[in-house]
Amino acid sequence: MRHENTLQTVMAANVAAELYHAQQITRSLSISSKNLRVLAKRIGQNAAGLAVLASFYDECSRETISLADQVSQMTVTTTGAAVKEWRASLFARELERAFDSMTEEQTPAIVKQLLAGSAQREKTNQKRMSHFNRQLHDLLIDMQKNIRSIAVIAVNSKIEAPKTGEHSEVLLGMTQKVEEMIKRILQHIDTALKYLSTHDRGKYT
Amino acid sequence: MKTQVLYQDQHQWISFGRDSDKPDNIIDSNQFMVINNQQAILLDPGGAELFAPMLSAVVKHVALEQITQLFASHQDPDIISSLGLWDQVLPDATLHGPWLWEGFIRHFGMNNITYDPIPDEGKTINLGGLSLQFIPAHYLHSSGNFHLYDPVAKILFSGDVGAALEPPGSPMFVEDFDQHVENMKLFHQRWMPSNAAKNNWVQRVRKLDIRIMAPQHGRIFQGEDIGRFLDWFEQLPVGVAIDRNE
Repeated sequence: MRHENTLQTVMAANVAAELYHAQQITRSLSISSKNLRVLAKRIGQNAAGLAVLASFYDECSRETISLADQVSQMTVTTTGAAVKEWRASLFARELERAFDSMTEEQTPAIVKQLLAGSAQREKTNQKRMSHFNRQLHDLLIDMQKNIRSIAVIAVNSKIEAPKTGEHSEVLLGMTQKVEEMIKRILQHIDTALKYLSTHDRGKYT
Repeated sequence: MKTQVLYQDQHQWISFGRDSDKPDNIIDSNQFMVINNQQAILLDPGGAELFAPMLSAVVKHVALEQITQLFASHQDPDIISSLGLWDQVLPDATLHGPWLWEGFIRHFGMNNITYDPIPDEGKTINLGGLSLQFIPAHYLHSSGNFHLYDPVAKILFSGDVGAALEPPGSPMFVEDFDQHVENMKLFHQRWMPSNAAKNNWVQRVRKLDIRIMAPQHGRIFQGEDIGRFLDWFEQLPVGVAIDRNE
């Protein structure tokens, strides 16, 4: 059976990978929002509504990138910490094996101390990982909310597009691209949340 | 952990290295992954200290289940001391390694992964339809040692041959061969024990069509620098520690 720390390590690495892909797409999304703003400026008064929407796009994209950065940092730290714990637990397991084959008189004091310490360490570790997973879950939900806000802006952009006359087709094309990107980002976040909830058996959902 | 795509066509070669979070007193190493038809092989996956950044880096390119094979060029800790950890996350994988070192490598912890011993003369394996060749490199530096050659991408993973000791953050590719020689000289003279083995390897490798030569430490060679390296290595006396004792 795989050790809890192994599962935690793999989960954190998989979440980080999903977020990495989501982040790459969000960067493109951010560029799209800038393009939209430039276009809105060029069109002028007829695209005043779009200019406002473009600013929202930009803000939401930047927030999402920042959240993804935070998650990425967290998962890197946690993957490292989980591996450390994993190695410590392998050590504790071997120490226990040695302890089982020793008599009371044969057991060096340091072995007893280490065994007592490892039980405590395991408890602390579980608490820490649980705390991390909760934070990770909250950040992923925040990202999801941000991206959903962008989806709403995309719908509004579609409504605004016909007002821009000759530019409406270009704008509709841009909006469609944004919607596709949003869909892909949400898929990555959903997969990341699935990794987390499978690992934690739905504790936070 | 920095990632670089070395080859991208029907299949992919990716290098991992220059880990900025690595403790300073641990030698920097290059790890490689070949991906073909949703199957991947990790070449010299690295030491236990590198496991976490490596795991995080590889899952950005493939799902863990797709890593079906591992390769250990020899038995050193910077090559494969992470085995006990990979063993937990890739229980169905196969590790190809020199037959000579099987009993030794298993000391790193291997309860699930299958060991495929490579005979002295080398062998060819299949990665999702792609043939990869294990090229003998015995005594360079380990007494049981192999390199991996991909005849389609024309890439030779050359283990410790071509390795260099350099400060952290050095570029991934050789830019000025003559300057780079100074970074390689001591490593090859001290780590490589046999002039006969070295010359035998040079002869064998000259027959291969190589576009990229990728060592496990230091910088990657491309194009004409590969021929330059072979010429330089051929004339370099190795096993110098014996002379120092006289």
